[in-house]
Amino acid sequence: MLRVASSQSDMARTETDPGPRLSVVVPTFDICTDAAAFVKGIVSALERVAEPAEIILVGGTGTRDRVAGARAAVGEDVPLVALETSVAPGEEEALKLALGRARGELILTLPGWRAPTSETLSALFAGLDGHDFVTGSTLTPEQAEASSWRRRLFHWSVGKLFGARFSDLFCRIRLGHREVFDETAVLGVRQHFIPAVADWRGFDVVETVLPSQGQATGYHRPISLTGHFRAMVDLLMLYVVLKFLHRPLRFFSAIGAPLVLIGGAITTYLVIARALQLTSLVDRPLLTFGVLFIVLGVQIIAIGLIGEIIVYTSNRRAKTYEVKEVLTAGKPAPDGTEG
Amino acid sequence: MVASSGDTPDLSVVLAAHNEEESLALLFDGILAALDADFPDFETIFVDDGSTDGTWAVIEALAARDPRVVGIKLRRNYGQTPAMTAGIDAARGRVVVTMDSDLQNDPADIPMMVAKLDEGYDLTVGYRINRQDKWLSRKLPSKIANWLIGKVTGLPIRDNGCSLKVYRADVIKRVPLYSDLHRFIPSMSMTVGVSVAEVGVRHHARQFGESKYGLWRIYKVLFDLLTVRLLLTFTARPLTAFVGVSTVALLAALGVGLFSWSTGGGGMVFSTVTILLVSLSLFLIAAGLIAVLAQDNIDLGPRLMRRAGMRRDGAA
Repeated sequence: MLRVASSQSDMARTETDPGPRLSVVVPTFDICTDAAAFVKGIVSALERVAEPAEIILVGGTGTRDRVAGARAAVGEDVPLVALETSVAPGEEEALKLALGRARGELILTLPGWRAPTSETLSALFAGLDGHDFVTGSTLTPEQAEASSWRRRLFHWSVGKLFGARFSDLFCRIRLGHREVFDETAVLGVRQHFIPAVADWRGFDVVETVLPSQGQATGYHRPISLTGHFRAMVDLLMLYVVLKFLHRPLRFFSAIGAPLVLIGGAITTYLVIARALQLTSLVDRPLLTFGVLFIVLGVQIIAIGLIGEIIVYTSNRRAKTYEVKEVLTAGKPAPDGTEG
Repeated sequence: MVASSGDTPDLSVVLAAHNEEESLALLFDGILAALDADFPDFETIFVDDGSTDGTWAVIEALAARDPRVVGIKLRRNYGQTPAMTAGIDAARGRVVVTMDSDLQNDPADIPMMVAKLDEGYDLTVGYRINRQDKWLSRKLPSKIANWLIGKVTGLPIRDNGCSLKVYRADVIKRVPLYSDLHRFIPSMSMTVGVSVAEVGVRHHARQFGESKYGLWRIYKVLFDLLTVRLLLTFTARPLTAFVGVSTVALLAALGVGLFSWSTGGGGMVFSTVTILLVSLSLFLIAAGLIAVLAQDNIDLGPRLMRRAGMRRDGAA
């Protein structure tokens, strides 16, 4: 029996097996205040854990110069890659940019404001063992329970919508197989949601508590009330987009059809009442509401229909599923791969 | 009879399974009994649609037992249409059979359906004789839905809900399948131009587990039907559909305006209603134009050139 396209692979790094190639990505390099110390910290933390094929640092104007300065401090043999954009990129955009350049089979993302310790990375690599993706947490489950109501509401909402429980989605230290990033980060989703989206898409995602817990400067930044609000709005948007990506009419009709029904009922009632001489329509603002509901409902359903046409024409033979494993008996696998 | 050549099997039987660990071995035995004599060179493709029970382990055991078994494990539960599409995409046979994996379809009907296909059809659709389901919650909604689907799509299939269908592979692989459109495969096949035959098949009561369908599906079917109708009729010219509804809104606005005028003026209420209906009419024209713009940027490929011919034969 042949097993093809299994997502699991051995993560352990041994003396004889160098393990899969690793790309380290820092999408928020602009935030870093001391580039040389930061890069030194990363190199030092990785020393006993893994040998990176490249360390990709993404930022706005001046990134190349700062990386060149850091290279002088850490030595020429450290594989630093600078990705400089004309304007400071957003975190999600920077991550997409870096992933387009990364060659590693494993991707490690790091925040730009604090280099990890080797203990942190060891915990992360150990956490990945046998899984597709591991996201760090600076909070133990008990600490997460005792955190602010905004934070708890956010994580509770993620759990309800995506069915995955996480305690610290704001932590930026993550490690995973390339395909996980390819199928989540490229969607352009807010980077906080990458673990939740990966889990929702069927990847084996785990959260591991990092030994940095309790320290004043963690691997995430403080988030304001407005920031939490924006994250919640993005979360709802993401849910709607992912759930109804291939069936837009379902979403729009769920809003539009009740409006049409309510409007239709009101209008029918008024027309019948008028026909029976029970009421006059001239002084009934209810008629306006009835017609308004119908108009709104039809408009919303029409938008859904446009969505369906777009999905059908642009996406009709696009794969609407992801294969995790294929079993064949000695014949070539149906997708053309051979294990 | 469909002939085999080289590495291509005669038949590919595609089975989407979600939490059907008890059924699969019995089902495969049924398939062996039905096909071994006439189509020894067949393949059975089990698609595990994110099962949480031992379904995948059963598929592994079957694959170890018989080299004609292919197992596809999806990353999560995607639903029946994507699971079926995964199986159809992987199928190598020149004829593809789809059926439920809950033992309600009888594999013994497959040879008869393939024989019907050999008469020159592209698609043979089963309809369940003596359907073993509850009348109120399953049969009645199904009858209404089938009647409605026939009226709306112009292809009066007797039992769209019957999963036992036989297709020519080159036809089914060209049919666009997404969302929950597996119910409308015969209708969607019209987009590539097919001839359809309908034959009666056996139906058994569910032996294990529970049905994955509820009455909620009626709502889904209704809007999927609207989608199919739109796709079948107006994808090539969406402006026609939107302008049609827009005209209705405009006529309604005209009617309200005339009524208001004939009764000596309706004041703010009728004026507002007229304005709303006119704005709806304009919005729909704009929506139609957007649909045309969206579509014009995409290569639509072959379109429906002829309506499906259809013959109906009974007897299981």
